[in-house]
Amino acid sequence: MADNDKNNFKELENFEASEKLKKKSLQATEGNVSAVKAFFNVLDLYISKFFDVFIHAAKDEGQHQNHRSDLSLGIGIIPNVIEKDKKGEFDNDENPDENEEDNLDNLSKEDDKKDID
Amino acid sequence: MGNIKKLTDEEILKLYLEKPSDHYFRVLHNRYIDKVYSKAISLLKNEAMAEDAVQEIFLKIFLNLSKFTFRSKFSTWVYSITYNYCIDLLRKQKKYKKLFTSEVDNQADLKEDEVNDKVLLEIEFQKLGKVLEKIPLDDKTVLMMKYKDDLGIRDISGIIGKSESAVKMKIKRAKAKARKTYNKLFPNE
Repeated sequence: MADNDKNNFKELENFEASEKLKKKSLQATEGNVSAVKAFFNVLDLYISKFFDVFIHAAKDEGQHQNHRSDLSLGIGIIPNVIEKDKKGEFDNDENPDENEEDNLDNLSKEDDKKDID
Repeated sequence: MGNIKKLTDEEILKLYLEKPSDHYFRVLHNRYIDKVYSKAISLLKNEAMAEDAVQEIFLKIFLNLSKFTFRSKFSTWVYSITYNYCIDLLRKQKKYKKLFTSEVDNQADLKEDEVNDKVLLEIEFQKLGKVLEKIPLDDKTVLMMKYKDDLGIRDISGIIGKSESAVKMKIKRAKAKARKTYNKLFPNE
């Protein structure tokens, strides 16, 4: 900016809007702003309704889940079984297949004995 | 509310944002309608287009009030929206399709003599008006942004979508063109 205060740009193109335009612009803006506000109010209402329904449904679901977890308590042992199996706590035999065959042999021998008897 | 006329734009805006009342809204609208209209008509050169633009610009302003960050003056923000809207509108016309989109500045521009602000600002305003009508619209627009609306280089850069250094160069070129045109139109002065 120049050192002194004189600035003739400030004098340029200072038009005055007509009263008609002022009124029209204000009405148009207010009308549109009100319409937008009304739209968002309706949207807000829908969203709050949706959340009411959603929260209600979530509560119901929560109750169902509690119920289900009561029922599924018995199934809870399955992870323990898998864990034990991983640790090898169930079976310490080095060659399970051979043992299985032995067991089968023993069973068949027992059956034979029963038949003879 | 009685002293609302003494409040700054920013103070009124804060009140409006706290409690959206049509009263505050109208005060801001009435403070700026002449300024927005002046810019619209001087850029668009068409009364009907300018009137439609004013309504659209105010709608944009008031729908985006909550986005105003108070980092700049409210007037700067309003002028930015106004210029942006009008420039977009002009670019839709074949004649101004490339407004502010041409490549800025070549090396030859750097050799141009810097025109002292004082020389330009003190040109009698009627003659200044004639000069500005003769130079390209983008040059006139940057000069009006800088010297009439006191927009900063950063603001202008945001509006026309050019870097700050490109804006400085654009202003320098526009000043040189205005000075040259003045000498041509008024050779005896």
